Amino acid sequence: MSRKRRKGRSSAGSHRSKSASGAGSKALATKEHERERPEVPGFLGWLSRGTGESRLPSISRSLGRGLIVVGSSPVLLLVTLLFVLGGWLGMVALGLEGPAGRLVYVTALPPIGTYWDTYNGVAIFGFGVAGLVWGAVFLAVRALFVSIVTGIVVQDLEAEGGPGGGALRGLRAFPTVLAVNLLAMSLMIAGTVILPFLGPGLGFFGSVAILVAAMFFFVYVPPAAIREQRRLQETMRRAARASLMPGSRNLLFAMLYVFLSLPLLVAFAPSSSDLTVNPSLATWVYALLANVLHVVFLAAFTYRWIAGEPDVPEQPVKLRRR
Amino acid sequence: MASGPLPPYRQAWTFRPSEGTVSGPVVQGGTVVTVGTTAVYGVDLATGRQVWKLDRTGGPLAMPAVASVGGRTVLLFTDGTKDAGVGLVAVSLKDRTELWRTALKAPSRSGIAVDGATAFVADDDGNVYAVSVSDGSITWTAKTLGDVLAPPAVAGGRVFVAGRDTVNQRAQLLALDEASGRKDWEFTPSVAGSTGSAASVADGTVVAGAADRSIHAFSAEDGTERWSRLALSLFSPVTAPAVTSDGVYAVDVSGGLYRLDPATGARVWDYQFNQLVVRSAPVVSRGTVLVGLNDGRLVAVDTTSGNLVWQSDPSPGLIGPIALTPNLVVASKGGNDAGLVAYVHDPSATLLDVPSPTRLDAGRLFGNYAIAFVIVLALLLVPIRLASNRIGPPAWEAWEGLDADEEGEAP
Repeated sequence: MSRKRRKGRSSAGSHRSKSASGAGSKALATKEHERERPEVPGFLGWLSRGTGESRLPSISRSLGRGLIVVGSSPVLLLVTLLFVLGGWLGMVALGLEGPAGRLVYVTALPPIGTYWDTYNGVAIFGFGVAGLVWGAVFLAVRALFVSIVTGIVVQDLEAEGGPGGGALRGLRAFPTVLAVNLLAMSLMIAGTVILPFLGPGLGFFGSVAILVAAMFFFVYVPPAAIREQRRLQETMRRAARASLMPGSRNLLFAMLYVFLSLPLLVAFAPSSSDLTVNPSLATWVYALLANVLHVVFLAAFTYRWIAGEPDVPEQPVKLRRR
Repeated sequence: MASGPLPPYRQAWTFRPSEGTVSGPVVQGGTVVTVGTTAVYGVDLATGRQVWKLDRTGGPLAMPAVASVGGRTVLLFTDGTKDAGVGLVAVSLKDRTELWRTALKAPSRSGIAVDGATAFVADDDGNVYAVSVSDGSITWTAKTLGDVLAPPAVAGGRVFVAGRDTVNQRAQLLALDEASGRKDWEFTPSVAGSTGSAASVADGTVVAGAADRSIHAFSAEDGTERWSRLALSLFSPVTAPAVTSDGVYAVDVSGGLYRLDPATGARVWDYQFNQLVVRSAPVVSRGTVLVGLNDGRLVAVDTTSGNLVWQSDPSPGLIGPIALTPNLVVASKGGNDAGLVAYVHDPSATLLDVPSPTRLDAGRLFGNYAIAFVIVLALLLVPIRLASNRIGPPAWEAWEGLDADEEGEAP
């Protein structure tokens, strides 16, 4: 099938406008949904099976699609891998001296990546206002990266236009993505102030709960902002409603990402606690793979948003009384 | 400041008392004195053999001190537990006869500082004592906010004590008038925490690490802050910076050694050992700064280049406080072979020249990255191929495939 034909079909069902995200996408998403269900494999059923209540693709299929999108796009791979190097060089130029294990967080999604941002701000500039302000600057750079990469992923999934166009669409959503990142950072800072009063046990669970909640409610904001171009408040509401859609297993997906990226990635990083600005080959390999994994998750969440977008209610869903 | 031998070194002797860990060493004449839990030991500086032993009732290990009063050399050490009673003890170093014993209100682990005929010591309740070395009488007492884990620093008519309150997470650097014990000024960092270092003083400047992860320099006279410089980690309360005319040398607990400009606090260099430093303060001698690490290494760093020039083999048990003689470096050692270890200059060994891992090595950094880049691309091919086989072609092809299904074009 020719490229021209693909383009023609895609433009006929453009996803950029609200109307386009309605009928055209819904039809396609329905077809994909119907097509996917019989193919669901039995392996790791809790990951790979849907509940039957949602049209959202299963977690394993979403991750698989994310991997394909990232792996088949040289631009996405290049942007990701070069951003890791650029991020590290930038931090080193500002005075960061490691540890190199933290490289696994360079492209981490918020709020996980927010840890990297605030850590770097405090590590380089100390506790206090300067550290927080610089943490916010790093967070803005991350928001820019997430916006651009999400734009490219959306463009790839829609099979329309090139990565440059996707990047531009992502840039337009940057203010929304930045605002949500700052909100996540504020939640984390508030948590670090309040949670110690709960004691070490409850405080720890509280901090994990904040991370999972921020991930759960904010993860669909970037693709929603790019595709629907609504106001910040409305975008956040839509993203939250998408996460709350019954049968979507979004909470499980968010928890999977949080627990995979926060303790596990760093725990297995080679020489993760060593202070150095010259990471070893093993550290680089591990860190680059980890950062590709972050972008794969980003692409998976974006894919899920596109698949479920037509079903996201415009109004809050009232709980059913049983 | 004492001057020791030049690196490289070889081990000259070890002293391993049966009771294990001992305090930091003090050198007087041809004898090294160290305090164990049950005894105070005198060790021959040339051979490392025990030459005398003085019984002790117990209590925390703390640095002893040596003072000269009325032509007599006096050894001072703290002795006793909370239950048995605690005292500052003075013995004649010549015949080890006890000269006096002054009661303290609580166990002491601060170690002792001596200036002229007065000894200064602090206890775990935050009491600071000025004691006459002649007769053991207490000249004055003062109070810090909590326990003191390093000897006070004394200079210019003032005594500087770093106290900490671990319950309320506060730390305090207190400047006391040496004659009266009256408080002249104090510094409490704005950040909660009790992990400040001990204080050092030289040329009218007091230097100490604080819980805000910064090394602070104050005017000894009025406590005005002259500069502060961020470190990468917090500071052990038993270590103090070393201050010379051309550098302030501080070490943090995660193994960062820093040389700062004494006038401005600007960082001249730092060396990250990636190994904890809990008990060893930096010691400067003849263009080299020595530090003991928790992995049992004694390391020597060139003060000009900031490069590692020598290190001992790692061994179980940390290297603690270091004392210098013209021919020997003597340090306390922890672990299974706890005691003292002495190093002497080894002319047959070669010096190292290893920069800190935190110094940018562009060739290594970019080389490793480039190889990793290729490896990662190769590694990604496999899962991408597997996913493509299972799920389909890249996403936009899949969208198209749905249309094709509808049109009967699907394979």
